Amino acid sequence: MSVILKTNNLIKYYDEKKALDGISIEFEIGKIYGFLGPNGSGKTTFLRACAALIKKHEGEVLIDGLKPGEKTKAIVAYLPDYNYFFDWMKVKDALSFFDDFFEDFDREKSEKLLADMELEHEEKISKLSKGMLARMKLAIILGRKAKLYLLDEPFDGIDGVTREKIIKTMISTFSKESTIIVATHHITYVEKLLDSVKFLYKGKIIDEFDAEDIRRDKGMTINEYYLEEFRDAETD
Amino acid sequence: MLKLIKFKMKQYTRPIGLFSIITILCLPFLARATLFMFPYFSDWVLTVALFILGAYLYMSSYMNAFSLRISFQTEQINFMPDDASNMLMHIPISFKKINLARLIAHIPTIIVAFISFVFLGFFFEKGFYEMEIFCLKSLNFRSYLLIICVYVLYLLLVQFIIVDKKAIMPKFMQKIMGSSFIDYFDKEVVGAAAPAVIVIALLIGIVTALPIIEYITPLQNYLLTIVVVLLSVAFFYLNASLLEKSV
Repeated sequence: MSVILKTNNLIKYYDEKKALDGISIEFEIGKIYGFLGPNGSGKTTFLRACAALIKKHEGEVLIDGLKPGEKTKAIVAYLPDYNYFFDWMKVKDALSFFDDFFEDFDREKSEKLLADMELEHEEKISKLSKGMLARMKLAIILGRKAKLYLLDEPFDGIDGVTREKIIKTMISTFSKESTIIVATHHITYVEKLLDSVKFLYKGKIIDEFDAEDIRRDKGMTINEYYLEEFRDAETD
Repeated sequence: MLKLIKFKMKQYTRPIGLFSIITILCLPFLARATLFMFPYFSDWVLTVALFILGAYLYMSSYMNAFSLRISFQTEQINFMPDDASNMLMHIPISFKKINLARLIAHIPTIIVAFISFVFLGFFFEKGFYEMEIFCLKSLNFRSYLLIICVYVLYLLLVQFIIVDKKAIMPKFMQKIMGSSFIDYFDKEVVGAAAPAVIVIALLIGIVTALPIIEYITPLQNYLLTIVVVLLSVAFFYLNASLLEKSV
């Protein structure tokens, strides 16, 4: 299978703290990856570097053979774990924004997702509750037909019923020409989604495997395996 | 690019906030000050000078730090190195184009500023004349120097806090100021614009009252204007490229 994202000895410092410690990793096209680790393990930093939002780092990041920048932003859909919409925007403004600036944006798909999530176009983003905001962000990001989706804690604040609905939609609409990387520490939320898993701890990849192998060979769920691996882990 | 300009225009033409109103109220003072600064210029040169100053001020009053960056070398919109909280950071368009679009999108507001500038200038003329007389009588050279130093320090603080934030700010400054102060400015970038505008208006007003102005020749005045305009353009591009590199 061909590779969509490759990093080579990726290192990132925040002041003197090493957030990423020499990550060399590959993500193949057509898979949904779980990028799992406790708080402060470097998941967000890694995704940001891949989303061309952090340029000051050591090592190499290649997305579809390109260094992160203007061109890769057109093929990467990044969902941050915070609200990055302008305060004055309504849901319809966010739709128009994506429609205007991302060629791969499928407005109809996004509108359908918004309707499924019971979100009104006239609602002001700054007035949305945490759960509603999370749903809106997902509905808009998943409206893109990107080659690579980088989702940072996508289900944070979303209730169980809606989460199941979104996961079903994600699985049914997932194109084998794209790749999804889900960074989270809520393993149970995403377990059903994952084809492959990479564990991150203190800025390093400590384990990577196919989800099915763990289920078959160890007779464990990914969450059980995760808890075993990180039992003694220190978190921020 | 057109879509980006349209987007920025929509953003800028939202209801004007309190700080913009404060700025507009400062414009007449500046208009009056400009008349002092360019006494040898013909009417049309004076009009252009007023226009540039109005644009400069209005842009700086706008609710994002991008504007701040353009005018006080100090950008937003919440744009801080290593900060992806701005939607514009996520779109596949270069930083320079975003800045250019922002500048173009300011044109309608510049026109509004110009109109307010002229009308309010006449309206407040008497009051400001009295204030100038006060400045002339009560301030000496040392006072002017002190005000300029305070203003430069203020700009440096804005530069460090709003633009470069903790990423570039020296550690000792972070310690001195404390994180709550930094966070306050971080959130209140709009609030930071207004005092800057007021300070610049006062400064120009006071500087125009300096006796030395009388000794500046028309040619020196003309060159000074060119230097200021060129510097503004240069800073605009410098900021854009610095930001691009620092993120």
